[in-house]
Amino acid sequence: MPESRSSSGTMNRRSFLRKSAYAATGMAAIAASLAPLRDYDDDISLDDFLRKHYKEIEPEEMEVMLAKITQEVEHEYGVRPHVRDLKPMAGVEFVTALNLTRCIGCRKCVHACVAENNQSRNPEIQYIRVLEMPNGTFDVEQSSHDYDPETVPREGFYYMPVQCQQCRQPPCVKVCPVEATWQDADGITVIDYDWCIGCRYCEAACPYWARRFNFSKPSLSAEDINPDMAYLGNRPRPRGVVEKCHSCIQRTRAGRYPACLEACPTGARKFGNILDPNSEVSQILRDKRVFVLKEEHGTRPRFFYYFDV
Amino acid sequence: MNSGRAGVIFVVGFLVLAVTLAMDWWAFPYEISEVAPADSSAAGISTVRTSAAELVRLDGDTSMLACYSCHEADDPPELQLDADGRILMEEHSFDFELRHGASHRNENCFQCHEQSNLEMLRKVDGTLIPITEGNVLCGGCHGTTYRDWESGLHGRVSGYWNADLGPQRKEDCTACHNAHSPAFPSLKPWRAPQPFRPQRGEAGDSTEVHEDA
Ligand code: SF4
Repeated sequence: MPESRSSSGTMNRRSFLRKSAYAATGMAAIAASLAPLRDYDDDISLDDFLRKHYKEIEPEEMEVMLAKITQEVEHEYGVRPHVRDLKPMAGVEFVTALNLTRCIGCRKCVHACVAENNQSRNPEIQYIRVLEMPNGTFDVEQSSHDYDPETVPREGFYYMPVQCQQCRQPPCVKVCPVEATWQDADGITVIDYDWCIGCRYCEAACPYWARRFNFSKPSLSAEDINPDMAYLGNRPRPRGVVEKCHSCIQRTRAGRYPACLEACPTGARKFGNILDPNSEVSQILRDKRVFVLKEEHGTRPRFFYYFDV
Repeated sequence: MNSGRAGVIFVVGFLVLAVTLAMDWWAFPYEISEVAPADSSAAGISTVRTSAAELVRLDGDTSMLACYSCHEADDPPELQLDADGRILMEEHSFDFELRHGASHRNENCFQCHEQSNLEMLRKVDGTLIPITEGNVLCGGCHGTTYRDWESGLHGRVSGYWNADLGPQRKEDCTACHNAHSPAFPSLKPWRAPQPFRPQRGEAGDSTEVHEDA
């Protein structure tokens, strides 16, 4: 091999070999560290990679994307879904109210939510966490979420389900470096799963621990699939993205109640349009003594808790 | 010479980084604890019991509502009281617990049932209504709850929050409360969430907080 020369001076054979060895090792290391990207071949096409932000997508382009999602879900699970891109309704702002006097901590809402929203079954992703709280305190540090008595409610405890509070000042939206999550006009903070880069900043920013990360590909069987899907809602998520409660967009933006509310055996959950003075939630906010969780953070939740008799 | 050393440090550093990344991805797949399969019953929206009105609507077994299949029509039943003045229930053909109101305040059959016509309910103002229209009877004492129920604040609803897009379904009082012992029943809780990380120590650890508290 001839001696190579560089502008800085002569390089002898030994130093050339040494540097080549370093370079080769370095290249191999780069190749090794990038190799897992090969796994993404199936998940991401060039079209996906070059697409626009959700807010810039034209209706015709969205049609194409929805058709593609339909195809992918059918291919993957053998169930043909009905995927829609539901927009906020004019004059509607959603609010949830939860009556802590009624809630018995049965967790039925938790599992109804999982069934409705196509969450991964294992590892298990749940949007609602029911806290068992000792009577006489609001200190969540004293709560437990894995209580498992024969029957609930247990003497001496009350139960506080926590999920996305749909804040007016959402810290999760503020920290997202790519605007993959934003607050829509009806007050629902949504996530575009295809825009999310999986940095998990939002998960760290949320004081309610509402956001969940898909560490692995969500495991769902064909029987688990709820085929009524929305783009920003319950369509199956890829690995490596964040998800959370979206107030059942696929239902609520079509006028229906969310799944947790319908499933709750005690009627503890109330949901509706706060801009309509006759809605259940408007009356609750007028007549009951409601409070929000962690008010001191200034997040201004659209999720209100109350006690009544 | 200096730049040579920097190069070595750079390459070694890079190598360490790459190896760490590669090991993270391949060598140590994290273990996920097994979970029981999801319980699809949770998504159901049925109520904890069936109201008389619903039973009639669904064409169910209404034999419990046919009082005169056992009682004589022209022989109104007399109440059997014990020494404390509380009703003795043994006489009755079907078992139920009578626990209505604090201090047994509403444990007299004929505060709600009409003595001379057992298949009718008697409102506080004396008017008789069929058993299937019991909601308004409950409202006679539980006025504020009845007001809340009427506007959807109390009790279960399903269907549409937006009346323009579809109907809302509201449940009867007795779809959740047994009129004879109205406290909402205790339920077996649905499964607890999967632990975040491999569990250490005893299974009972999670209740420690409560025992300290
Ligand atoms: S289903 Fe209703 S009662 Fe049960 S935990 Fe959820 S909110 Fe509470």
